[in-house]
Amino acid sequence: METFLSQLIFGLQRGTIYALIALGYTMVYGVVRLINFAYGEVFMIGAFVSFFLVNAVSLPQPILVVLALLVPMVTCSLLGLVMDALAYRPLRQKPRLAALITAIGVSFFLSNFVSYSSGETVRSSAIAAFLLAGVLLLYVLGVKYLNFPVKATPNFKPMKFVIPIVSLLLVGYIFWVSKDLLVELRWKGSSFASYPVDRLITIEKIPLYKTVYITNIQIMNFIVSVILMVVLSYLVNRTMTGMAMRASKNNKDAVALMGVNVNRVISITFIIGTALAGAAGVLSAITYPRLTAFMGVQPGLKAFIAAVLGGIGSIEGAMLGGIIMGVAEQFAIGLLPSSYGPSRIDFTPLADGVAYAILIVVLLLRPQGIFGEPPREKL
Amino acid sequence: MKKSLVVLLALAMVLGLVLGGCQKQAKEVKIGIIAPISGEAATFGESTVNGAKLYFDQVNAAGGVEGMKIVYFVEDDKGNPTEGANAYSKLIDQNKVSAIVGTVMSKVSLAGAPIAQNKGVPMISPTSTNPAVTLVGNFIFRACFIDPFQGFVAAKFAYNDLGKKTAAVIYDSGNDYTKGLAEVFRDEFTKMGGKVTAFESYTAGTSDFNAQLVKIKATNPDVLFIPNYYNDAGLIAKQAREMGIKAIFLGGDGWDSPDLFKIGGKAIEGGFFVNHFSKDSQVPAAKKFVADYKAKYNKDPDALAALAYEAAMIVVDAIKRAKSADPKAIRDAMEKTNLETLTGVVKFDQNRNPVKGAVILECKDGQAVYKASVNP
Repeated sequence: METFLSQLIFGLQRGTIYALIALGYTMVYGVVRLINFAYGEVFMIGAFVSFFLVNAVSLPQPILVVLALLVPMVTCSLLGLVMDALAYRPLRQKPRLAALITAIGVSFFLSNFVSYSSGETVRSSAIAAFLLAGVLLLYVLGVKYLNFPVKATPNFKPMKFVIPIVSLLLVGYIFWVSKDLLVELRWKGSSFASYPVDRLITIEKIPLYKTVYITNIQIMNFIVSVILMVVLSYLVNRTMTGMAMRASKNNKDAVALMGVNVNRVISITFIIGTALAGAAGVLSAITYPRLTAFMGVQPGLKAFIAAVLGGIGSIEGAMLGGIIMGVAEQFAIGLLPSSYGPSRIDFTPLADGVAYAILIVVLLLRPQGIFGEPPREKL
Repeated sequence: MKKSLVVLLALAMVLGLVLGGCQKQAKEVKIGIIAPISGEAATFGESTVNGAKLYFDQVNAAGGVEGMKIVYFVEDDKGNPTEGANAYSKLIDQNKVSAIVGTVMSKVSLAGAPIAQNKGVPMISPTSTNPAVTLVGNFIFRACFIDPFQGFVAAKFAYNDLGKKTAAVIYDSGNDYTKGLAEVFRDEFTKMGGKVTAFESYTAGTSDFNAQLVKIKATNPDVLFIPNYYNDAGLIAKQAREMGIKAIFLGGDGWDSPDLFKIGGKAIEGGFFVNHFSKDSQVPAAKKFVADYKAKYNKDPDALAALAYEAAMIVVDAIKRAKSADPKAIRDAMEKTNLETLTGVVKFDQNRNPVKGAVILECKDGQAVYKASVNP
């Protein structure tokens, strides 16, 4: 009983983080029909932004917790906006596969960028970001005034490049000033940074049943997730923007004809989705205080499966899918026999496969997922 | 006029090259250093390179070995077997080294050893403790004890010195080092009369060990053996304490990093681990090494630095006795090593493993301090 309860609690802890990332997947897929594989990396960047913030400022715990959660969310949504503007928007009218491959590219770029831009090489990354900003600026000026390298067309808007350039400059600046901090933390390569949880929150255990405890971090994770999910549901189901989103999901062309700026709706979707991934990154960093450049890969994959399991495109589905995934994985490890038995065969590694097994079963029995709408025949 | 000048210059350059080349051939011995300077065990790489460099620089400052100056080449294996194999090939084929000090992790050494063996270049791994490494061939040596001994020391310490009768183990099922240690510990501890209550594995890359730890907690062990690298070990210790596991934590030489305390925090305090070297050692040579290291790098050496220093000592000693930079001659001399090093006299057994003792360190106030010595 005690074991069962503990496994359940830790399973929920795993699941809430999957659920938050899955929400991002599902939102963007619902509106744009794009699986943004870079969510795992946004998750990682959220964790790192929070890490730098918590290390850089000293404030009372309650204020710092809120800041440590909000600042990465804002930063990540900016990142989402840039990602959409630079990588996905140009491909919107192209076959869907092009955007999908680009998403994988963005994912690799982000994780490797963080991996190399640490420790001694951080300054070179700052320079790279400045250079990239410069190249973009030259490109815009060239097109505008010299018609080089391409001829300016009437729909060429230099203002579209302001956000990417400014954010590149910002990234470069952050890297430039944080060199000493990084070296001091001796965070190098794909080694790790240790998240200073103590500065945010003092871990307290609340006895639940005999030796079973629930920690205040777990409670906080759960509450934050629920709040974010409720806010999201409200946004999608009760506001005009949400209505535009739901409408875009059904028919983008018709929505555009109604006078809705579809690109704007998509940008907002990206902002919300990436903000959620950022929040998940922070919660994960507080729960598992080890940060690496590749920390987003596994959760990203699992969350994707969770989104498919719940029915991609459905918010309730992503929540439920994430929780199911977390709990299922936890119990798989808990129940599978380890090599300490007469057989001496270790079954624990199979637990990682549970996620994929669930995915296969769901795809076979109910391809649209638990809450997904069945595909409709278009006449 | 101009043309003749060009010809003259070209001639001078060729002459310079030829002469320079001749001089270099006679006065230089090239040695490679391989270590994971980046990647999951970056502090291991840094210490290893620092330790080996320190000795080579000292030898050069004292006039070199047998009139030859030591030139060393450093390669990063990133803790990755493929990168490691490339590093070995590069050092042997391009840089034409006479011997290699490296590398740190067993899985990477196992990828590089066949290359060194085939090309006939002796290598000495400072810290690869997996027994299979030196079994690759007669050109492969190591400067540290092997895993079965380390597992035995941990089991003996838990059973005899701590007087604990039950233990649980958590290890990474995809890593030969942690798996090997876990199995030896289980067998030795059981043989001594103790009981292993749980033997749990996880797959690399996870940060959530709670499922395994819940299972372990249910068996209520006195000791939890965590034979993993500092990175995972710290996190496991932390999650175990948060969950209310009261067992004493025990580990292997993979714990030896200041980052253990950074991530393990208070949870790791009171834990013990088996190691090769203690900076508190009272042996005069070791004391001098600690002082020199501190003077050069402004921090205390860990065991990895000490072992790299020892490996460098063994190589230079072999070159001295071989009186040559020929790889084969160095190998033959290395086999007959009988050298006073930091941790005692090093001699190789028939599998080219040194016969030497271990120390137990205790995690106290964010530092690893000397607790006990265990001899074979």
